[in-house]
Amino acid sequence: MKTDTDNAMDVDDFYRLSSEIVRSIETVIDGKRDVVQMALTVLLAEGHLLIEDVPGVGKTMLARALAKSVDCTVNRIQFTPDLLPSDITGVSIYNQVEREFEFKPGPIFANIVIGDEINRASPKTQSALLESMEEGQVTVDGSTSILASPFTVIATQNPVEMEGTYPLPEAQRDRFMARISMGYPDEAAELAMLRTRESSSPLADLQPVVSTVQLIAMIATVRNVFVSWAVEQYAVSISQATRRDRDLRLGASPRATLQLVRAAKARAALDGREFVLPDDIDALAIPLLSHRLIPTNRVAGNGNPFATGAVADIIARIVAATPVPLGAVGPA
Amino acid sequence: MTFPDLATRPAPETARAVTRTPPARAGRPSEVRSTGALLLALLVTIAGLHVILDGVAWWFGLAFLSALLLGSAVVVRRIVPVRIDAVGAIALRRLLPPVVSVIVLLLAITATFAPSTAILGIIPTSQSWDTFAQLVEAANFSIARQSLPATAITPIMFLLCLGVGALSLLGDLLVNTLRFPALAGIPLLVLLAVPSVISIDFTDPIVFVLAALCYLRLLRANASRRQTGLALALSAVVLVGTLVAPLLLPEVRPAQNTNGTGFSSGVNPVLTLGQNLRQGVKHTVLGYSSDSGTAQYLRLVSLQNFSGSDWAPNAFRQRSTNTPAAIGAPPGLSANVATKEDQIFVTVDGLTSPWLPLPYPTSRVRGLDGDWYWDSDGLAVKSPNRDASNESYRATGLIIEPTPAQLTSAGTTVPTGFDRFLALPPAMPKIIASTAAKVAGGATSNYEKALLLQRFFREGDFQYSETAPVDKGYDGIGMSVIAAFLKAKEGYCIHFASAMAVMARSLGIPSRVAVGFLPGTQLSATVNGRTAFTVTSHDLHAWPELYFDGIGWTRFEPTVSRGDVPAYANVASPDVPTPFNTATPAPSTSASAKPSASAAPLAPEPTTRATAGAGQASSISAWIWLLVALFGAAVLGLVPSATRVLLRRRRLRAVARGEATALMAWREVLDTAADLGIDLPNTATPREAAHLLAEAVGGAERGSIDRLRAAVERESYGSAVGSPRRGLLITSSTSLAADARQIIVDLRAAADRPRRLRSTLFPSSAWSGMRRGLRSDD
Repeated sequence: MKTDTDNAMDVDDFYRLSSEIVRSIETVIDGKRDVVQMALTVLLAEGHLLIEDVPGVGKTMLARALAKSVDCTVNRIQFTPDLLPSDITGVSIYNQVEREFEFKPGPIFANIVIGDEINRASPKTQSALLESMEEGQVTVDGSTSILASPFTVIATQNPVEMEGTYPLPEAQRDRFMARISMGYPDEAAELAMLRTRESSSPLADLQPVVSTVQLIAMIATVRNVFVSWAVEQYAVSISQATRRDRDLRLGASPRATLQLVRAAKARAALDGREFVLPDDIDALAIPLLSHRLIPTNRVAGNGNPFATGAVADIIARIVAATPVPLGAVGPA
Repeated sequence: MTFPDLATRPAPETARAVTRTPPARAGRPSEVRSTGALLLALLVTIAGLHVILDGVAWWFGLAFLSALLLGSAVVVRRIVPVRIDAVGAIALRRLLPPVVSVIVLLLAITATFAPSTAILGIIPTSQSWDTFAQLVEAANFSIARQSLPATAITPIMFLLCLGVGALSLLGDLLVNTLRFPALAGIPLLVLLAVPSVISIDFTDPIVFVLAALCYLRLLRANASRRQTGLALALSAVVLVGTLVAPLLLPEVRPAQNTNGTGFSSGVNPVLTLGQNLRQGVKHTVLGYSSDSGTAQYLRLVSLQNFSGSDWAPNAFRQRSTNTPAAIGAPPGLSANVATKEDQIFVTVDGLTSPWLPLPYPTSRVRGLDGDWYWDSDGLAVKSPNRDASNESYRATGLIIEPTPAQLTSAGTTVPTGFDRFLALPPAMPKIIASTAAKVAGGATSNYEKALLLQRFFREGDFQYSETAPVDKGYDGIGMSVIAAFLKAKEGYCIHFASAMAVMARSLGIPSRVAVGFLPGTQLSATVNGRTAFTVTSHDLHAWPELYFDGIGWTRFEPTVSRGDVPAYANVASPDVPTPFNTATPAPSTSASAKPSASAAPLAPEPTTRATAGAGQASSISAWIWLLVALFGAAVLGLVPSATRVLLRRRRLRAVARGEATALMAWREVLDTAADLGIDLPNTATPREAAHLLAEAVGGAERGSIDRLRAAVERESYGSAVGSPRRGLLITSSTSLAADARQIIVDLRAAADRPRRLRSTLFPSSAWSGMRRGLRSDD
């Protein structure tokens, strides 16, 4: 997971490669550039992505396309209610030849892990995944195994009101850097999709455009992006404002602030900049914060604890009301 | 969530280039229409001057001038081509019409008021300017003297033409060049305000309403240029201003005004005498005290030459030896006539007159400042270069007390050299000589004739009236006036004095008309033990002086109910039977000593027309106050504007020199936007602000905005170390300043006129901007 800053690549190379990834994914996912770029941002910011939408809009397709565009190990876990934690982390099996227990790594040991319909698994299983997400390692039977680097979980889930789902608790949702929603394709995109899927799955033709080494270098580049005091101040102001807001029961965690700035760095790098702008924070505030915040019952209304739209509105309001620091001033 | 467009990256903003095109400029027909509306409004407001000006002729003159100027501007606009491809053509089209109008104004005024001094009668020379200066001086003088409504004499017309011409030019500039029709209310208001500044009573509501309607029509003619708010605000300010200004302005007290009463050296004193008398306000002219306690007539000058239309003083022959320390002996006075020396101390308060008020005859004047000389002919004391205001002096003179017998014995003798005091124009109305002959033709001595004439006026059916001659159109002192006066039997001192003097001449008595003051009112207090008198502007007077051989010039008092009759003239002629011989024949010595206090109240009150000018007699001072107040308000009002301009200059200069960073230029741009009413909240990121700015400038090039924005972002959020690379537009400090200037120009060009004007006059960022600038935050 740790990348050497010396590996950082030139901004131009970074820009070229990121463009290629986007283009590659776009051969599979039509007309969803924002979503694609958000997914890439999370990947480069070493975060985990939660894609939430109704079935059949291409959540899994996006995750797989992203994974296939990068030349790295990819595992996919289909979450079901009977899935066990060991089905994810792996199990120790007794090797009769060696006469000792041997750890068989589970599907979590990959650069990109696609957790499909994560909210269909039991909370116990979800926890197993989420712990490894945060710590970057798996401990089974007392032995600890380090996960691959880079390591990104792209989980998809159906909206909670769908049947047979176990909504993720706040603490677990917080582990995801961002939550995005696919949304339905527009008419033209849907028509184009019909034509391209007629013969074969475009996913099958997808070739990696970035090697693992390059990906590590890109991540290093993102880490090198400069964040000014003014922008940090801005991010903190927004987080603080969510904690004070009367319409929110739970505000943004410090981890949220951290990830907000980290994602902003990735976004800045994707934009060809080596420093973060307040605009990056603005653009990322809703996908980065909305799944972490819990509105008051008054705002959420009749029993919908998430009220995604309402929370997004609140975040937009907070962002619009937070003054943007201007000028190269630092802390005294 | 908006994301930078990676795949198709260069310039995502270029798509919005065609969003807004500036509204098409109103075409020429609108110019003609708006000029017509402006002219109509001007004509109506000019008509509003009718409350302070007599007659109607002035209106036609001013209307013609206004039409000429506006018309010339329209013609020039029609002639100059409207090819937009050259910037110079636009500038020419904008600048030429006002310039041509100014030239037309100058030529028109020269041709009208100083044709003799001009080349070809229209091109002014340096002499023309002198003429103009004299006209202005004369106009100021006349304005201060005239009662209301004033006669639009030539100098006043000159001022009016200048004013109306300038206001017409201003109106055209505002409506057609600057395209601020709403502001055209300013010249209209200035015109409307003229009468109300003089007095709130002098506002004609009908003209006000008509002018308002015309103003609305003017706005309507320019309906495409929406400035409703500005127009309403202006109207409100104007209305309140016109109503309130006269109340707020300090009331002008004529007593404090040294120009209160007077005679210009260039103007015949008689002309202004009646106007002074008719002025509603009585103000102190001088005070005097005399050793003897005798009330004295104080003469300014004697008018000796009767041209038929006018009495005029002799041309003053200034001799350096004629200092008032020793004034020549009174002509014709022989030693056997009883005289009494008297000394009076005079302090002149407010009197604009080159002549000194003195008793006749005076032998010596002491204590004068400056150059004063006595005239060997009439013994009047005059200064070539100053007026009598604030002079304080001691005059020693004689009180002549001839007996009736001495006067009678003078007979009809006219000494050599005194024939000129008998000169009469050949064509004189018969009524003058015939009346004289009827009244006094039978008398044997000049003295008797004089007594009979005086009695004819004082004890006949003549009425004292300051206004009747004006109302009936015979004001003045010429022959025709005297004839009319003799028929109407109404008039004031000038008519009585002039009529008696002319009639005396027709009877062979040398005569002249003295102009000066009645003795005034005795004060209850004494000054250094001497009896003191105060003389006001209402004591201005004219009386005839008749010459008797061996006695000299003697004063008579024909004006009914005014003044006091000298002892020698207050006797009935025992020898000549006359229908007027009804007065008490006994000489009354007390009468001569009695000041005119008893007589003055008998003077009819000035009519209401004259009193209308009360309190506003010296409108000049009011004007000065108004100008000072307007100037002060303008200066105050320009403070934020000037602060803003200076701040902008300072910031951009600092940026250009590299002393300040792009942030300073950015602040300047944001402040300009704020001034123009473009809302750029501090919660907007530079990019968002740049986007809003780009929207505000519409179709204009947004390269400047992007360059400046990028520089600001790099400064604010970029790393201090490390070399800037892709995505960073490096710009030099000079081009940053240039970009900022370009954005400001674009912003202003894209804003509508009211906003632009407001941003210039009342920049909202002025104070906060100044605070920020002083903190020198970069």
